[in-house]
Amino acid sequence: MSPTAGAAIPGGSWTLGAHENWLGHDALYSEPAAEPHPVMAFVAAQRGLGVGVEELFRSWGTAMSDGPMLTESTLEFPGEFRAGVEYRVTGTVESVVRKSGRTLGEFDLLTARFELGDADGEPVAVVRNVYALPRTAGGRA
Amino acid sequence: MTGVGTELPAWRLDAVDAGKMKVLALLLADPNPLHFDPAAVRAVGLGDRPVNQGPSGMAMLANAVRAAYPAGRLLRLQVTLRGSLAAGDEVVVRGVVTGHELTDAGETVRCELTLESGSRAVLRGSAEVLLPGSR
Repeated sequence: MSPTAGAAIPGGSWTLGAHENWLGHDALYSEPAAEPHPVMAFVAAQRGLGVGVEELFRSWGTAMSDGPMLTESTLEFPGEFRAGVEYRVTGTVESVVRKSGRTLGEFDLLTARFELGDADGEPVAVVRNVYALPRTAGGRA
Repeated sequence: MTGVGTELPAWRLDAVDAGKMKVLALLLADPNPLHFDPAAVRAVGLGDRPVNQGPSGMAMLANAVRAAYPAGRLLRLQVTLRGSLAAGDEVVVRGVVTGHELTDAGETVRCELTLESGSRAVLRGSAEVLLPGSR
């Protein structure tokens, strides 16, 4: 089933544990610190969206074996993203645009917006990802 | 280091680390074996080295900005992925200041960023940083 603009992503909540904060810095070529690496907001969005990555892509009509790709990502920090704080993750499909190209054949460019909100509902981080979802056999990441 | 046209210090990595990809795969809960299993990489004809995750490359751009402005607060990071890195690849991130302005929040600096491996431009992006003491 093809996704449509405005479709909600299940959503959920996630807390960056102290050990994950340390490991995140180390995995991202950064000196461990109390303040999380900014890209851990991307991790928080992915971990807190309420379903696994495989299931998310499946809900958008794409199997992992089809080679869905992240083509663009924007992180914005209207607040302070911290470890040890539970954030509510909400997500929406913002747009879906059908394209075609030599490598992927026919594919959809899907833009999804994820928001990490604090206990008061204030946005702390916004993650906007653009994925290329192959729609023809033979397309490959 | 806020003048338009000022180059940020280059951020360099001798070799993308396959071990860090494995940890990041766990943190992301990303089941894609291309990031940790060389056999899976070979099976799809992408060579024999695990493929680095997109967010890892994004982090390298962020690291260049954080190194240039260690006390600054990253407000925004935008990244376009134009290719991929594999384990063992050398990386250099370059940046240049494209603007700065005073806002209600303080002085912000905008930078354009490029991540290169050899002659390949793998990622391009931009960042906006709020400088310390400007509130």
